[in-house]
Amino acid sequence: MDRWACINAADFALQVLLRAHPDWREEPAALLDRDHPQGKLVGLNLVARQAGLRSGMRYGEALALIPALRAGTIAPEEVEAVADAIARALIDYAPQVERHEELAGLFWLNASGLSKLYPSWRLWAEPLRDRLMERFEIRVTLVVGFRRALTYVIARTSRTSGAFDTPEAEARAAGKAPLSELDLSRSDRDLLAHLNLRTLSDLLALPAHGLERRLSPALVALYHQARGDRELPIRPFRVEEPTQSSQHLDYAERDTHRLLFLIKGHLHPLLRRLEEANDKLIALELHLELERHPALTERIEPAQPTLDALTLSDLIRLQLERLDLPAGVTQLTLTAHSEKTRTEQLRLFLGGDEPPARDIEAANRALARLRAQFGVEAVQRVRMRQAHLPEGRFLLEPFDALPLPTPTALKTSQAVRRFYPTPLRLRGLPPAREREGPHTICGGWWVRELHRDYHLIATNDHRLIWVFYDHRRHRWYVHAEF
Amino acid sequence: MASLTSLPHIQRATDLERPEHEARWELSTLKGKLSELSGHSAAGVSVALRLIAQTQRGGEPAAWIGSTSRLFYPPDAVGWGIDWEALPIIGLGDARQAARAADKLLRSGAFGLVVVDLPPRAFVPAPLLGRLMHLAETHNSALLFLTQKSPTEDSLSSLIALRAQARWASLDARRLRAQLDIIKDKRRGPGHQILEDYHGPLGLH
Repeated sequence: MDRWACINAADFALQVLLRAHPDWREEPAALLDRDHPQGKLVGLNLVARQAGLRSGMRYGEALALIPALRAGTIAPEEVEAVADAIARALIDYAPQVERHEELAGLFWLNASGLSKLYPSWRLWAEPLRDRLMERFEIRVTLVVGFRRALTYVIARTSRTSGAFDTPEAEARAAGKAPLSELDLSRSDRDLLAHLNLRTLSDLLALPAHGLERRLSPALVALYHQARGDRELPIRPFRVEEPTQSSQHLDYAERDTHRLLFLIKGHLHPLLRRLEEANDKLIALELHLELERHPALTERIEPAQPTLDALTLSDLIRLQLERLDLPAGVTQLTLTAHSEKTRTEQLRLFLGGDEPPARDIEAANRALARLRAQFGVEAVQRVRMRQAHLPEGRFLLEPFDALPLPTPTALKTSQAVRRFYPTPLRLRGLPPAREREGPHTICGGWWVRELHRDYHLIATNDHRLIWVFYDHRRHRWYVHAEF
Repeated sequence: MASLTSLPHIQRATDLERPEHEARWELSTLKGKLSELSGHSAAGVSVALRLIAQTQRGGEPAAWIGSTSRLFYPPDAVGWGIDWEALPIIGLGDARQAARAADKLLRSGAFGLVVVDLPPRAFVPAPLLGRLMHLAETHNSALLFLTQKSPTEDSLSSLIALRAQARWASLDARRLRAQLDIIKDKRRGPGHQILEDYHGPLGLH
């Protein structure tokens, strides 16, 4: 029978947040779902829990109770990146590593052969836990058992690590696990409390017949997973080594044209290797070691996955032209990041469907060239959002691919202001023919208090400007102009 | 010898009928040309956004090139129906860089309209403008420059086929009327006016 080691990092997202703020560890700290007074607390450290805070509280409410509360948000991509790094580190301990599909801090190692190498599980598990703590500053619980679902239940509900010698001992320990500490929704937890189902064995004691009608899909899934009828949503972790090519130069090369030719020499074999693996290049990383200077790393992203050397050479050329090399290059490394080639669907032209007026792929290629020439941050698009301040009501963000436009119908033809995200300071108010306002915006007490009085002013020289008086700075600013 | 009086009647230029109803700042008028919309107010910004909405409704991508420190205010243009996901904003404040970016976009042939919002006192080299004009013609795209200058100042170049001076004719905060004075039109001649009405701001933000 296989042995499985379940590694659980409790409050994983919060732990990732605390890695970035080590000084918060001794203070009451919380993870928010959004950085706003109405944002909810979704993770709490022990100090915050002991201070009386609970998950689900609003940030403003919690701050009123504990003014010293430290709170922040964390991007899902950052959490995912740390989980990936941990999974990669776990490969050193066991050849088969699996991750939970939905819960980021949950891993399994196939520990079947390790009993022959280590006389005791403790000798294997303790260094692993210590290494994760030392390297990632992530505290984990480790449970070695026989079935993934049961090790998950035990690791999630227990604060201590351990190993089970027999499947029966594992099943007994899992049976005692309190259901309220598992990853269930509030309504599921309420239902279980209402039905007086406290532990996993209480749940498993229910007859399977008609369960779907009485319980939610999540509880039915847990029931079947714990009985061994179904498997957990897991995915194997596979380390995909990027395709690389490197060259050490005998001399420090400063000329970008000659560098381009050297790079081209590596590009073709790299692309051939990708083609043989049925892959396409999605990004090319160019790492340049410089003489007596810090190394440079540039990333080149084509508009779409490609194996076209000409397009890539062009993008590399543009990127190199932009580079101002402070010293000669002594070593260059090309790393190709790729994805599997997908069979493209044939486009069917059916009854009256017309091809688009313009070639959107050509537009994306042009934008990729602009990114290569002027930097990724030069090509952005607008995203609207709800916000209190005028400058927060939209943001500019980079994007990967430009779609064909699908505009909506014209509703109003409102005049559009020219907006200054960084307001322009006014020495004094210009003479006004007409004035509207003030319209006051104040708030931001949770970060940086502000109080602005906005006025719309028609000036004597036929300008319509949108100005505000900043009560904190005691100054006038122009924020926009019609 | 034929008498001069028997020659066919030659119309004087001033007698030519000017089709005023066609002389509008529509996308079809601007396509294949370099155009310039000048002014000290931001009236030209509203006109440019209207053209972007019109381009997108025709199923063609449009692009905006200009400094992000003096951009249009997107929440004002929500009612225009613009698909923001399909509108790339190329954040370049330098006029030459902006023109080079326009060159790349027009060269792709994939854009129906490219708006280049130039900073005050901007200069774009003539050879670059020549290339841009050729690309706009080849791909039947419109290239619109927004500049900040008075009507007495010269246009960007002699290659500009259409130039208008934009200003607000009325400054009522509820209803704004943009007046475009055509000061250069290589096809129909200058001197006419176009009026466009816009709603004023809905509250402050």
